[in-house]
Amino acid sequence: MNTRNITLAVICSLVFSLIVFLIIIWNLPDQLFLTNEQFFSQELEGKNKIFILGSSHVYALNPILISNELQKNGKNFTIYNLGSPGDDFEERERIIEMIVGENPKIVLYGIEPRAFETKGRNLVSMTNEILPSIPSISELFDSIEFDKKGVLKNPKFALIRTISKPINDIDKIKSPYQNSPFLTYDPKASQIIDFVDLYKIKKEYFSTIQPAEINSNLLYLKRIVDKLQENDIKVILFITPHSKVFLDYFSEKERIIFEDIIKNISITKKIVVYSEIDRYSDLNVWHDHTHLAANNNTNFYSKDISKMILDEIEK
Amino acid sequence: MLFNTIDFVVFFIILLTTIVAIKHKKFQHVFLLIISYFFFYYSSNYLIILLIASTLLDFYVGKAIWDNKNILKKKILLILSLVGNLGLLGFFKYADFAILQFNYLGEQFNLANDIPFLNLALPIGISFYTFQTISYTVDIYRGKLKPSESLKEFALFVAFFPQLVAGPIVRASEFLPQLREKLQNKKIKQIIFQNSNLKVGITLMIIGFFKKMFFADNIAPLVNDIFSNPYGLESFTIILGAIAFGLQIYGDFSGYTDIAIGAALILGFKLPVNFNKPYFATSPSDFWKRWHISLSSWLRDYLYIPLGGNKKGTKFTYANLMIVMVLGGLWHGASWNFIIWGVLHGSYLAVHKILVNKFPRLANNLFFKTKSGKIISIFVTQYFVFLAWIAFRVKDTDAMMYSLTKYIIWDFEYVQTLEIIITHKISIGIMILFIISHYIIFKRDNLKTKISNLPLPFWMIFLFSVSLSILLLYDGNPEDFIYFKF
Repeated sequence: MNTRNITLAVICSLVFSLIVFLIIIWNLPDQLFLTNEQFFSQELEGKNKIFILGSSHVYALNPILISNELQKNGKNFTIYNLGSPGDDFEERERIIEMIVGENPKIVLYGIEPRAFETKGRNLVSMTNEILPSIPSISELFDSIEFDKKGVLKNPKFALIRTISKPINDIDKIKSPYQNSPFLTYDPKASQIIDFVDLYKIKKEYFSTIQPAEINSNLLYLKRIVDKLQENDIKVILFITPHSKVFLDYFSEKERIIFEDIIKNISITKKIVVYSEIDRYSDLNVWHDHTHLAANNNTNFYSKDISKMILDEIEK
Repeated sequence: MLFNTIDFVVFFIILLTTIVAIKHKKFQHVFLLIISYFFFYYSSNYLIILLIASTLLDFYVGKAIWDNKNILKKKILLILSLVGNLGLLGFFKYADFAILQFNYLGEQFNLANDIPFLNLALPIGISFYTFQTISYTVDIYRGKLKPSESLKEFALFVAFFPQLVAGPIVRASEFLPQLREKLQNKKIKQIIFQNSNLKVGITLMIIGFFKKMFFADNIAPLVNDIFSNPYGLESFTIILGAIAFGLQIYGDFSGYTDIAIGAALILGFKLPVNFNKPYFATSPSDFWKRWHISLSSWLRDYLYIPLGGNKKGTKFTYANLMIVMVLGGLWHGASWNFIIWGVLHGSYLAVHKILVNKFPRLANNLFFKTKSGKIISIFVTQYFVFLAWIAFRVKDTDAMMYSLTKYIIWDFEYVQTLEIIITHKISIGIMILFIISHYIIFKRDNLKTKISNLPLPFWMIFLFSVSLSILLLYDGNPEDFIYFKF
């Protein structure tokens, strides 16, 4: 056995495993892409559309209520709450073309500190790069666009999802409110938990939120804003409401980093970022540290968002 | 540069190809040094200055210690090296932790309590390379090691990329002769891809990737789910979390070590073994002979023995064990949870020593030599090892205390635990697989060598299956190597 044989054996096994892997992956559905494609392929009602994006933090926003509030002020808009649980800026960027294709007048994006937690490979970019940095091969891969990129970026997720359940049929999802296609109704989400119990649920927050200059999530959010602004879509960012329990556990260090991130996007993209973070923090309306209970008692959330939209329209 | 990235794979392929292509073999060491600096610079940018500073300091101080005949001057030079290295380590790793404690104390005594944090970036691998360079100067001071004659040689010892960021902590006495031997034999072809090394090296690397990317990264979600918010969880859930974290950190760190040893072996260098089936240890001292061996032996040789070891009576022995383990804990990170982890392990070692000394008949009981006796010893030892893992994992002190209490005092509730098991079926399955494979490795010695000795077609099937499993269960948001943070 010589070195050449060993090298050939290694190359063959690795290439063969890569081929088998790619064959499997190429046959897996890109669920995020497909569910969005299914939704956006429909004829959406309304000439003047407003889209709300964000994570489960926008679950409690009722599009119909917001639409009615706007109508009371003589503004005729159809609101869609396109929030989806665990929203991720990087994933959202993959479907931004579909959103742009619908020509919404306004896109509201609900953001929160946890959306800027950067997990995984961020240790490599922890240093302030004083000397010139070397372009990373992973970043190069990120910049290449192809059909199955979503699946390829997280094969485990795609594989398990495909094995465990078929693609969600958008029409069969039971939403909390009308025009909230990606949010699944959860009866528990309407329950209010009092502060005594909320304080008992202590959490570790923000172990990995990184400063603005190296925060990859901020980078993706900026790209989304760019894309929307390029297409003359008005972008409104708002920081979603949080309970006082969360704010008590929100460390000073992380708060400064988060505020810096907000300042950064506001200045670079020339947009106002509305902060709702502590607006209802003392009210007994929380389902957990960061989610308002979704019931009639929290309709003020939707009403305040409609005021925000009106303010921006007036401008 | 992380090992579990495409960047590293490309880097390593280019490295091997270039080494083969370099005709003048004497340039291979220089090339290896440059590529090691590149590896470090890629992820650490300007912090490479610290690595170079540490290298220069110890190269020249080491030389001066050797050349100087005056004991006092030798001592001063050694202190200079220690202050330089530990100063770097202390400043970059512990400054903010110290400020936090000062501010806390200031608040308690109504003094200044607003010293601003420095927010320094933690230089990757600083804990490892400073320990390597310290061992170099101390060994020269002790007369055990001749200083390196060439700066290039010494710099390669400090910066050798496979072990640079997370060990194993290599001693100069282990590494430098590997460079010199070949030079003395006038075989300047230092880097020869020997078939045996190549096959074993590749096998080790693929097993390392498997441990990290298949096992550790897929167990991590379960661990994170349990320990990000342990309040209100049942005892069995906490125990499950502790076991899961024990397996995760073992897969993560021993996986890294396997990749490092494998990569070095392909290049013709032997790095010391860092793990030897630690979860089959039968006592706390046995555990430390099997877990992170390069660190525990470093602490023994450069801290425990200089403190007096067990030569100054029993009380000093226990105190020394505690000091060594607390500092060992603190070495992992500037946080109280690591100190508590160290205190726990220090207590285990001390209590074990007390038991052995006070009850020799119990310690030497023949029952503990039997199979059932060994099994019981393993379970008792691992019960305490996994208890300490809770302190290692849970940073919040209240949450840690809650988890430790639940781990010790069982509530015998199981509804939540079943829910968590159902939610994390994949992690649980992978944990079971890990335990089974760990047991097989325990029963069959030298499994890695046996795999690398397989006939080529079977070895190819092994490589194919392992790499396909890694790819299919690759997590898009993998955890960093845990020890990269130390």
